[in-house]
Amino acid sequence: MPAYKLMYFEAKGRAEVIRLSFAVAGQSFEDKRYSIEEWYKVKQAIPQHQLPCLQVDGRFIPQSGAIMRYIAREFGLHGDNNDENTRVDVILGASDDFLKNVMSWYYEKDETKKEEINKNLEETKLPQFFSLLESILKENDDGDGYFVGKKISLADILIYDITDQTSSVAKLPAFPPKLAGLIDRVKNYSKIKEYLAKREKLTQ
Amino acid sequence: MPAYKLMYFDTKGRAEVIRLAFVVAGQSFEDKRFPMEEWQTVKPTIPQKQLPCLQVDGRLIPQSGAIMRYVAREFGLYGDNNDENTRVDVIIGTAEDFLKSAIAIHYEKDETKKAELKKDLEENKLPQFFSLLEDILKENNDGDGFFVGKKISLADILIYDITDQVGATAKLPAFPPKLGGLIERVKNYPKIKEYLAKRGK
Repeated sequence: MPAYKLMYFEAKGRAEVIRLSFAVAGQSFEDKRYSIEEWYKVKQAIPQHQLPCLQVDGRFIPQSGAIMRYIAREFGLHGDNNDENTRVDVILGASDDFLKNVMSWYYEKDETKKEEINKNLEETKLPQFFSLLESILKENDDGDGYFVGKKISLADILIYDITDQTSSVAKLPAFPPKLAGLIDRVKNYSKIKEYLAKREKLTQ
Repeated sequence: MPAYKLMYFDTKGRAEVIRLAFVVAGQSFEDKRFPMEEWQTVKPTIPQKQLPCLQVDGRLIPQSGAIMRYVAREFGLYGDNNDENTRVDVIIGTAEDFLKSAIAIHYEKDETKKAELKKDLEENKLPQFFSLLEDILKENNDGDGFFVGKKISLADILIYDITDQVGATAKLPAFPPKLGGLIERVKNYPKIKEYLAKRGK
C-alpha cells in the first residue's frame, strides 16, 4: 500500500473533494494542512508552487484535476469503461465552468461589482447549473441512483462538495427533485456520513 | 466502427486538439463546422448549448476536456496505466492554467488593459509556461522523447496545438531546448505532418 500525503491549506477549497474521495475509498492518508507562513517556506519545493499537491510514496502529483482523477481511477470512482469515465469527465467539466462564476465573485475587489456577481450567481448561474445537473442525472437510471453507473463515483462526490462550499457564499436555490435525492444519498453514504460528522466537530 | 461527428465553429479554438487526436489515431470523422447563423438554430439541441460537442453514433458528448480524454482513451493516446494517465492530466491542467491568461486577453475590451495583458503574456506567462513544460518533459527520458511513456499522447498534441494557436496572436519566446525538440517531433510526426500540410495555418 503506498503512503499518501495530501498537501493543502487549512480549508476545504480544492482539496475537499480529494479528502472525500479517500474517505469513500476507505483509504488512510496524511491530511497535511499548511498555515500561510509554513506554505511560504515549502512552496519552492512543490511542483508548480501550487496546492493541492498529492505525494504518493516519493512522487508528487500537482493539479487538483489530475489528483482527483488519479485517486478516482485508483479506487474505482471513475466509472468502469470509457463511456462511464467520460460521463464523469463531462460532469467535472460542467462543474469547472460553473465554478468560474464563484471564483470571479471570490476575486472581485469592487464591492458593487461583487454584489452584482453574487446576485447573478443566486438568480441565474446556480439555477442553470442545478437544472443542467438534473438533466444529466436523469440520463442514468432516471436520476434515482448515482450520476454514473450503479455506484458512487467522483462525480457524485464533487457535486455534493460544490453545493456544500457554494452554500457558504451564496443562497442556494431549491434543488430540483432528482438532484435533491442525489445530494441526500451522498450525505448519507456511510463513509461520507462518518467523515462529515468528524468534520463538523472540528469546526465547532 | 462507430461514426464520429465533431461539431464546432469554423476555427481551431477548442476543437483543433481533438481533430489532431483523430488524425494521429488514423480515425476518420465528420468535421462539422457551424457558421454563426446555423449555430443559433442548432444550439438548443446540443447538450449544454456549447461547442465543441462530439457525436458518437447517436450519443452526444459535450465539454472539450471530456471529449479529448474520450478520444485519447479510445485510441491509446492517454498513457498505459494510472501513472501515465495522471501525467497527461497534469499537463492538461497546467495548460488550462496558462490558457486562462491567453483567453483573458481575448475578452478584454479596454485597449490599454489588453496591451498590458499581452505584454504580461509575452514577458512573463509564456516564459514561465515554457519553463514548466521543459521541467515536466525532462522527467521522462530526459526530455528526448514524448511527454508521457514512449509514444505520442494527447499531452504532446495539446502542447503543440497551444503553441501554434497562441503563436498566432502573441510573440512566443524561444523554446527551451527539450521543448523545442518535442515541438519539432510532433510537427514531423507523419500523420500530423500530412494534416498540417493540408491545413496550412
